[in-house]
Amino acid sequence: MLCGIIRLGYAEVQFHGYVMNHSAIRDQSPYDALLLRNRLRLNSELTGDNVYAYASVDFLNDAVVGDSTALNLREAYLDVYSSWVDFRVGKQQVVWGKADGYFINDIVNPLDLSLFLLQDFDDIRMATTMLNTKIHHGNNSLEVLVIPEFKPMKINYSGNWGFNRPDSFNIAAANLNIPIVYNTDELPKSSLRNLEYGLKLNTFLLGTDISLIYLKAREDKPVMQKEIEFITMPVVGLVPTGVQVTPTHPWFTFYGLNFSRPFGAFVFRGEGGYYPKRYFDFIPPDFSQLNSGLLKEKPFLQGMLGMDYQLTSQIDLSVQGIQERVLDYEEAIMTDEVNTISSLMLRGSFANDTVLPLWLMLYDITNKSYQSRVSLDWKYSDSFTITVGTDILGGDKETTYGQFNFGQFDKNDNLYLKLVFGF
Amino acid sequence: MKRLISMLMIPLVVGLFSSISLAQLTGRDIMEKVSERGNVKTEFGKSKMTLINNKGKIREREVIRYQKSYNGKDGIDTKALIFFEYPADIRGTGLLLWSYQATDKDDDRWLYLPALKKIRRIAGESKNEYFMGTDFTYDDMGDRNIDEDTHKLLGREKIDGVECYKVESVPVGKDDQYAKKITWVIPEKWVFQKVEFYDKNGKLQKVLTASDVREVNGIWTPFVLFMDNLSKTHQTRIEIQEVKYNGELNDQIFTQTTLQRGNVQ
Repeated sequence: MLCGIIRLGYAEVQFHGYVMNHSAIRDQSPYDALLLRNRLRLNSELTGDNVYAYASVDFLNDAVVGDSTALNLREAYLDVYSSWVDFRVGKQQVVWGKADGYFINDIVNPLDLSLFLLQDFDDIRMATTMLNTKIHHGNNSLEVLVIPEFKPMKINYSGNWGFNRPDSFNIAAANLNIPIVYNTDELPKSSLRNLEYGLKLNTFLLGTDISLIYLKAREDKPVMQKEIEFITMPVVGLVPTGVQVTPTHPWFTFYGLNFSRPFGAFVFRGEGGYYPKRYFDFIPPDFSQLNSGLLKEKPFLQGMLGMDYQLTSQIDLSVQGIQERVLDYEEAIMTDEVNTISSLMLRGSFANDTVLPLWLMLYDITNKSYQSRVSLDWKYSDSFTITVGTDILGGDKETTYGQFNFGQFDKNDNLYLKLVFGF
Repeated sequence: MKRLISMLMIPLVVGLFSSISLAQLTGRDIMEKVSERGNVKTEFGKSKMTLINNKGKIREREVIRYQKSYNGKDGIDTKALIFFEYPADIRGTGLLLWSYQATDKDDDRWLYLPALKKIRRIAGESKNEYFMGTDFTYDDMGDRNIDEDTHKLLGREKIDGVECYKVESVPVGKDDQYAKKITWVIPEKWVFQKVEFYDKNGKLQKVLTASDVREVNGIWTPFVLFMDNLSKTHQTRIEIQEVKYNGELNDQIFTQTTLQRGNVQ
């Protein structure tokens, strides 16, 4: 065992981590590298009486993404716990959802989609600084989050994993053939007024795990405010001359719930979310609405139902159906009124958990786009794992709205290899 | 001389009496005694699992286990919490098990995977699934209710020089993974020396042997368990590194909060 243990009085400090090479090559012309990343992850843990501290640091070098040799403090938090209340303070990830590969309740931490879904979910979810208090009794608990740090979603609009810009579609669709100026992101300042907060009540009732969620936070994914500039022309009057696009992060309120319950050989999971107000791009029917920022406020509803089933003692099946709906819909809104996504996951475990094949298919039924991932983990030893896999993405390239829009990365089908040496 | 005789006689007489009463034991009585021996209020243990494949290649797991018996309070038989400490790729993985006294009620199981930072429910029926790459199924690891099988005493037989009871156990339910088990039990200690597991075709599938039996807090405990999975040509050796019975374990340990936190208060 290479991981180190140091004893400090009543406390014990442990070090562990891994070295990883993660490479992904596009499997079609120009057959270029989509990712060439080396990473040293160092985790340290301090365990004492009712106290625990954890820090995780990444030393990253990425040969594809420029200037990306970086030292990244991923997580760093302190736990103080007792028989009825736990406190966790610091940079941390909070996972509130039950869905696999989709984020309905799991919205506390912003996402890093700079490599779309090529990274592990642990890396896609970015830790934020917060105080997490959990009051618990049996399998019932109340979690209270106070989040002073705002961090926006990491998303690119150029490069291999550049997302389509919904605002440019929006402006073009509004027949505004005018120059666009992109302003920098308007990030909220750290202040008491900008504190985000959330509550989650967990209970175990009649064999069912149930959670109720309330979150008051700011949109991690920027809402593009569009300000049209006009000049007054003789005869025709107001004429648009340009547009300023400013990424903003307005407040939202979220109500959620999730559950999971086994029935015989099945486990049923579900989660739902309701936003009384979210912002959607829309095409103004006339000039009088051009000062709306080309945004419309509407309630938004999301839901997921899933089922896990053990096909054999070595193969597990998970299926999910997800639907999102803009309520009080208007035709001028660019997002579809209803967006339906399905997922299927087959996971195998062979040779005493040393050979682990996976097939994950995410299919956006509304936009007819998809991502199919096939991978195989081979645990050569306790410390060395080799993963080979392929991602196939396809569908409508013009797809802009919805959580993932697989079709826009149609050209990014890839083969990947991960070599992980743990210590 | 008299003293020497009495010293020799007392165990002989006790042995004679006990052999008379033991001779009347049924298969169920014997398995009940084995089960009762394990009926401790609480248990804490650290163990090392060595997984050996058909080429002799070794993988290791280090596990901490907490268990508490509830003797039917709220219908619960036992609650157990298991954490993996080693190797690094599964470190922090935890399993919470609630088993119930009613034989027709499935266990409640929750698995915490640190890579996903998420607790997943596991179907209670998936008892036949192998536990984290070992040759032990969830059912092998858990507390099997004695009435889930019918037991028949086949006689006495010597195993490694130790005279044992030989008991055949046939599952009552049809969904069980094994057609039958044959257990060799050491009298007085009520510890099994060996268990043979037969599959539905009557073929010997696995052999479990126990050794290094020591008395801990008055309870006979095998410190080494060796499962030879003949059908998979794979073996698992469990070596107990530390064990403590009937210590104080807070009920709050056996909750999802502790499972997710990964540290026991």
